[in-house]
Amino acid sequence: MSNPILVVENLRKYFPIKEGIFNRTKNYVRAVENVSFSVNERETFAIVGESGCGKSTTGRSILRLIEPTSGNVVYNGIDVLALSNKELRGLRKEIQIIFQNPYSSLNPRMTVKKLLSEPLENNYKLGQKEIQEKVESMIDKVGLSRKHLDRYPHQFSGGQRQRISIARSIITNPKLVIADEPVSALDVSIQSQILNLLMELQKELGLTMIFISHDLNVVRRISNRVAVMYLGSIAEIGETEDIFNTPFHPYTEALLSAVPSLDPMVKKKRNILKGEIPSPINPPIGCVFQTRCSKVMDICKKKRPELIEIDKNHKVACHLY
Amino acid sequence: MDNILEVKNLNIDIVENKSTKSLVENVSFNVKRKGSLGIVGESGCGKSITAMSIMQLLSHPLKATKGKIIFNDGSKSIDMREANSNIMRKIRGKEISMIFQEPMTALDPLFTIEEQIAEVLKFHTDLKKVEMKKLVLEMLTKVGIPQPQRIMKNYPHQLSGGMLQRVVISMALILNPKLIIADEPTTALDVTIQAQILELINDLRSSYDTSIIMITHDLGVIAETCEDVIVFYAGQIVEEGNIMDIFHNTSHPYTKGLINAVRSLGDKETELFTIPGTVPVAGEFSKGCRFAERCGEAMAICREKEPELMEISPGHNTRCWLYNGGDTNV
Repeated sequence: MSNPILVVENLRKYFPIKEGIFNRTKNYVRAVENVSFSVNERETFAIVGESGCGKSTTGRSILRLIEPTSGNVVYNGIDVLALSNKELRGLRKEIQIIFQNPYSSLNPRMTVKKLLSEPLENNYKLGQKEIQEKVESMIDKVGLSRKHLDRYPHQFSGGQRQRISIARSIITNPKLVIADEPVSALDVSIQSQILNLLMELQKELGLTMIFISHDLNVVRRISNRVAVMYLGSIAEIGETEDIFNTPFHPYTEALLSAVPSLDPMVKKKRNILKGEIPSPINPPIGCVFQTRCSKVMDICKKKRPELIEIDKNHKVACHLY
Repeated sequence: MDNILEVKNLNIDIVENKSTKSLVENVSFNVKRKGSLGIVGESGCGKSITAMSIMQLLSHPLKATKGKIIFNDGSKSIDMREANSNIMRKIRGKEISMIFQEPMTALDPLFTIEEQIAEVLKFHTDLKKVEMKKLVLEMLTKVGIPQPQRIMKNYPHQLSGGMLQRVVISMALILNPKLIIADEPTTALDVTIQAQILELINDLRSSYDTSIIMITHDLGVIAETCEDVIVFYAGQIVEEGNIMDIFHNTSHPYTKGLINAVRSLGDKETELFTIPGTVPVAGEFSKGCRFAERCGEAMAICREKEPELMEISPGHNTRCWLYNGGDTNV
C-alpha cells in the first residue's frame, strides 16, 4: 500500500460564465480549487461531498472528460494533461469511468453485445472470435447471462443496466476505475448487489478505484481512504476509519452527524449546519466553510487554511489545528 | 374517532381501453390524529400513487377503483374517493396539503415566492392584501428562511433546493392543515440540508398538532420522523406496525432485507447483505407471494398461495407464510 498510481496536484477547474453580445467572460464558477491527492495501487479512494462540491468535476478532470484549468495529473509517471488526443485515447483503456445514471449512459440503439464489443474494437486489435469470447466471459462476470447479449438497454432494469455499464468499463482491462455515484440511482435492495459486484471485481482484477459518492454509509464500507470535499476544496483527507471515528474538520463532523440513524432508539446528538453552501461564483474569502461553521474565528475570514497533516496520513484544512 | 384518515381496501388500477392492471391492491391503513405514519418501499411499489389517490390527484389511466378513503377532521367525515371536485378544492391546501419530492418543479417559475404562497390564502380566505403579506412573511420566518423580506420577492430559480423546499413547506403549512402528505420531501436534498428539513418538519408538527404521512424509500428518515410504519412491496402492504415493531421485531423477510442491506454497510468483514433479483414491474406480479422469488426463506406454499396480512402481535401485521401459526397445509 504505498505506490501511488495516480497523483493529482493543485487541480483547478474554473468554468467561465460568458455574457453579452461579445460573449466575454464575466466571471468564473470555481468548481475545483487547488485539489491535491494521490491514489495508491489497488486501493479504493473515495471522494465524498454534497452536490456542487466539485467531486464529479474532479473525477472527470482526471480523465480529461473536462479539461482542467490548471494543475497536474500524473498517472503511472505519465503527465496526463500533456497528452495529445491520440495518446489520451490510448490511456483511456487503462483509466475507465462508470457513470451514475445507467439510463442515460448506454446507447439505446446498441445491443448489449455491441455495447461491450465497442470498447474492445476501439482499443485493441482483436479478431471477432476473441472479442466474442471476451464479451461472453465479461457478461458472466457481472452476473448477467449470455442470452442477454442480443437485447437492448431498455429491456433491462436499473440494476442490470448498471451491471452492463460496469462490464463495459472493465472490459478493456483498466487499472484505474473512476466510479461516479454508481449506486445512487438504484433502489436500496439493488444497491448492495452492485456494491458487492464492484468489491468482488476489484479484488479479482486488482483494480484501483476512485469512488465518488454523497452516501457516507456506502463510502465507509467500500473505501480505504476518503477525501471530504466542500465547495471545490478538500476539507479533510485520511484513512476511512480515522475520518469516520475522529473527524477533525467541523464540516466532516456535521456531515457525519446528519446521516439519519436506522435505530429509532438512538436519538443522535445533532450538529445541524445552519445555512446553505455559498455560491462557487463568489466563494467567501478565507475558509470556504466559514459561513456555516460553528467554530468560526477571525482568521477564518482572512486566510484560507492549508491542508496540513495533524495525525498519521490524516490531513485537515482548518485553522483550529 | 381518533383517526384523521382511514383508508380501507383501496385498489388502484391502470385502466386502459380493454385491460386493467392492478397497481395497488387492497390497501388499508389509518393515520392517527396528531400521528405520523411512514410509508416505505422501493420505486414502483405503489407508495406515491397511494398518496396521490388520497388527494384525488391520479390522472388517466390511473384510477382508484375500489375502497374508501375517509377523512375525518373531528366534526365531519368525507369519503375522499367519491368527493366531487368542489369539495376536493376546499380540502386541498386547507385541510390536507402535500409536500412533493422536487421543490424545483413544484413551484411555478413565473411567479415570485410571495405570489405563490399568497395564492393559497387568496383561494381559501378573504384576507386583505396587507394581511396576506404579513402572514406570508411570518410563515417564511417560521420555516427558517433568512431575510424573508428579500426572499419573498425572488423567483424560484434564484433559490437553492433546500430553500425552495422550505418555501414549499411554508405553503403547505400556512393554513394550518390537519394532515400533511410528504412525498419524499428530502430525497432531492443533500444530507446536511435533509437534517435541517427533517428537524423543521418535526418541530412544526409538534407546534401545529398536524398529522403527517411521510413517504420515502429511506429507512433512516422513517426512523427519525415516524411513529407508525407501513412497508409496501409490489402494490401491497407486507408489514405494518409501530416503529419499534418494524426496526426491532422485524418480521417480513423483505423488511429484514431492506434493513440488513443498510446495516451490513457498517460491517466491513462480511459481504454486503443483498436481496437477490429485481423489483417486479408494476402490474406483473407472480402467483403466490409476490416476494417469494427474491425471498431466502421461501417455502413451497409461498409460490402457490398468496399470504394474507396477519396480526403477529397487537398492531403488528405481516404478510408472510412464516407467521401463520405453523399451519402450512392451507
